[in-house]
Amino acid sequence: MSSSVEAITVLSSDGDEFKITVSAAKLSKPLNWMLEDVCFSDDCDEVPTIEVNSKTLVKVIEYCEKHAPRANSGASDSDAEELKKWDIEFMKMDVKDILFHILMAANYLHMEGLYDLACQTAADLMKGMTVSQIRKIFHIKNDFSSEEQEQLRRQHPGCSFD
Amino acid sequence: MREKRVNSDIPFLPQEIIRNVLKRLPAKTLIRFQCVCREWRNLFRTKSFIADHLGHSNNQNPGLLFQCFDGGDPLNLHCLDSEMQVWEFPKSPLHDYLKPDKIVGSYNGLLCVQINDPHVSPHPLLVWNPSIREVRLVPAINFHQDYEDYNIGFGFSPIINDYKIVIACNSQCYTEISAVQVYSLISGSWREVQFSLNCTECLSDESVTVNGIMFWLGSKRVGKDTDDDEVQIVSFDLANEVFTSIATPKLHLWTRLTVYEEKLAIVSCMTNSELSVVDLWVMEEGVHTSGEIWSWTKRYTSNPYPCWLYPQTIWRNEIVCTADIENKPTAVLFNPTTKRIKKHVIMKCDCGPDILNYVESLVPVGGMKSLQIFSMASTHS
Repeated sequence: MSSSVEAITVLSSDGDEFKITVSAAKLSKPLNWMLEDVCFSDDCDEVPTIEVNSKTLVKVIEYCEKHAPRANSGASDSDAEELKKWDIEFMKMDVKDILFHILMAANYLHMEGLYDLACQTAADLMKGMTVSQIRKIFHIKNDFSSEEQEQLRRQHPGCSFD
Repeated sequence: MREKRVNSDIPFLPQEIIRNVLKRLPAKTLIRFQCVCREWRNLFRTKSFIADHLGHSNNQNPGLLFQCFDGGDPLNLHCLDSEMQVWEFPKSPLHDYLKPDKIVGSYNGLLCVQINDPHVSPHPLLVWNPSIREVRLVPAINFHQDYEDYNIGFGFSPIINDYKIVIACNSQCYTEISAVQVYSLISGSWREVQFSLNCTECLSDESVTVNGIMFWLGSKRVGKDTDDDEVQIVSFDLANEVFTSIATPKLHLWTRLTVYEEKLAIVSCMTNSELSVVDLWVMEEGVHTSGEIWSWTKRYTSNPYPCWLYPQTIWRNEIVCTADIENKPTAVLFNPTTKRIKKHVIMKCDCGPDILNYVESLVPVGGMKSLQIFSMASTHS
């Protein structure tokens, strides 16, 4: 890879082009491997595709660009504190809309920090949900027999199947 | 540029991701989510998921349990969680049915509880996981004689993957350990163990378990007077059931064993003219030049703090002491790394609470009897 390259272009699964700086792309192992690949040499114009949709990729890149300076050079306590606050704001998104896509993308792109953050956000959102809301977002059907439901109710009085 | 396709559908998450999300939920939420489907109910009962969940809770959400002994209300418990929220521990049907008296041990979300029964000594015990509402009655021990004075330890050994209760009884005439019995959660029975240390011992009330070894502060009689007693640590390997004694560094009057960075640690306080100093000692293992397997490193000494302090435990890498500040029971937290000191008024508790480390977990208490006892108890409430 040529050292003159500061940003690379990638395609989303929807076919849109996105620019990501080299230092930000280093947050993801697969992207890092791509960087080392010949495709990014100056005389190659092939654009790699990332199997993440555009809406999600925008957020993933936003996260990478924000976190890259710290990941590459280390950070002071106040930076870490500021970044934590930024993460909380960044994760204020609708679970139905995009959070699960971010989870999948962070997992696929091996981005530990984002994956951890997204898992925790999902868990925090789930705490306030009913059992039927959970079934809906995870595409699950209630497969308990009435005997099994009765047994669980006996063990845990007040538990609800709705 | 192509037309943007907005995908608002919720994707199907792979099993691995779902597990990683679920392990972050509090045990009581998982109990609620057992009702989602069979797969989830079964998952929450698998050993590997229970261990993942416990590991995460221990790192991210360790709590403190405050046990108050005033007001005549047995087992008056409050929990302080990692978000510094205090909540009253839910009263369980245990209260109406079994007369629980005192928590004598807390490990991995399991509590070892002593039952108030004036007719039996040692008092009967039970193992309770409040998060999953499971209780197991521990059978009575058959000692050859009644012991008034005894110490109870409760801990876990990862080597044998078993929880054990240790009772060390002192003979009535003098504080000498004369009988030791060990209960295993796997075998469900008591077994007599020889107290192999060839010296007179008296153990402190609280034990601490680190990596499968249970520790007590003990005193060794060297002269005729109790003032001459030498402090030492008595350890008990829960896997091979062997006692060992370990010398301590020079300690102050108020001393507690605890855990720091997954090592045995001692928090020791000295008060002079209303000023207290807190020391933290950590035990390092490995063979040293002196030939000893253990050595002690002093990791922290606080600046003088203007009140009497009683060491309790270490929680989230901070030393927890209790104090009475302006007539309010207060927890004072010392951070050995940042050197910061924090104060928190703790719930009203006239005589100052006992503080235990506690974590919510899905760890089962084992044995099917527990469930039957529980359902009997719940119909009584």
